[in-house]
Amino acid sequence: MKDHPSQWIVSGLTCRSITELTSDYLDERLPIVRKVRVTLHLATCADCRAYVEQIALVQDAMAYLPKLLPSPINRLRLSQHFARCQTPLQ
Amino acid sequence: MNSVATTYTESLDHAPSVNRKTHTAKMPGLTKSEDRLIARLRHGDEGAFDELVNQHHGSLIRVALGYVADRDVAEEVVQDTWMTVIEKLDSFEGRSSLRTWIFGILIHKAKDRGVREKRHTTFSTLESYDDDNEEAVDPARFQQSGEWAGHWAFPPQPWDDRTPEKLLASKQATDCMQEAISNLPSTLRDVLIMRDVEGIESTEICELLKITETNLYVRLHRARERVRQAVETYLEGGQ
Repeated sequence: MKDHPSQWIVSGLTCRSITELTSDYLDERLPIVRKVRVTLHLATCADCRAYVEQIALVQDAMAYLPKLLPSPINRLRLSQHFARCQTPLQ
Repeated sequence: MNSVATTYTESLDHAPSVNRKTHTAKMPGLTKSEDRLIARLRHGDEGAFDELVNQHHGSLIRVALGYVADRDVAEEVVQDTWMTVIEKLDSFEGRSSLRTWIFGILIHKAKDRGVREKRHTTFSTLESYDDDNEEAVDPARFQQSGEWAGHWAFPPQPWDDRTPEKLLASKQATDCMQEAISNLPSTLRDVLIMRDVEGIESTEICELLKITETNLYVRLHRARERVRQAVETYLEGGQ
């Protein structure tokens, strides 16, 4: 199907609706009928495809945020406390 | 630092009695890897504790920042959280996942500290979030009337050849995302960190935050959209 506004009527969903459904769509939470309608809309709307891809990218990028770690002194204190509290099982 | 030292000293004064539970069966709320980790922790494996800290410390800090005024206070709260995790490990029964349990401790402490500090005045984090109103995307970006009402008036521009790795390879993009996350109200930040960073199951997040799954996903989408907007602004600004 071509990307053309006239095709949007097939899905019965506007782009505004699609933006509200995006996270549910990406997380597989939509009922099957609605999922099909979203898929139909995305097949004919490059703008919404871009939007969904961007939300998916943000979702995936969360896993790549820089690691934050304790300061050396705090880590040392934790290690000492752990060693003190967690006496190995006999 | 002083409050961290105090916390540490308090922990010494209230050292828990050693009550070694024999760990024999897999706890119902745990994954296999968590079950193995718990066993290692209870055997006094410091490497296991290091792994646990390395894995979750960043997310704990980011969530704590939604409740307290600044990074230093957040570090203190998270340090206190880890101390409690160490002390209470024997009493953890595995009804939830280990990380859910840890985040529960953190949120409790962060809320208490935020109230006590009474310096948590950043508008964005005090912002009360109404789940029922406010669409994720500014309605002005859609056509308001006519034949194509509800369709894009100002659509997003494609982010060509973008992967998470490429996006975060740019320090500016990383800073932009981190700033967007730090500007989220705690109601949105919590679900974003716990779901998208930590991968905590939605049912456990709902139990932890006392929200419905519908609320969770409304908030999650709002959070993702705000971060997307920040990245969009950065990319279109050509920074």
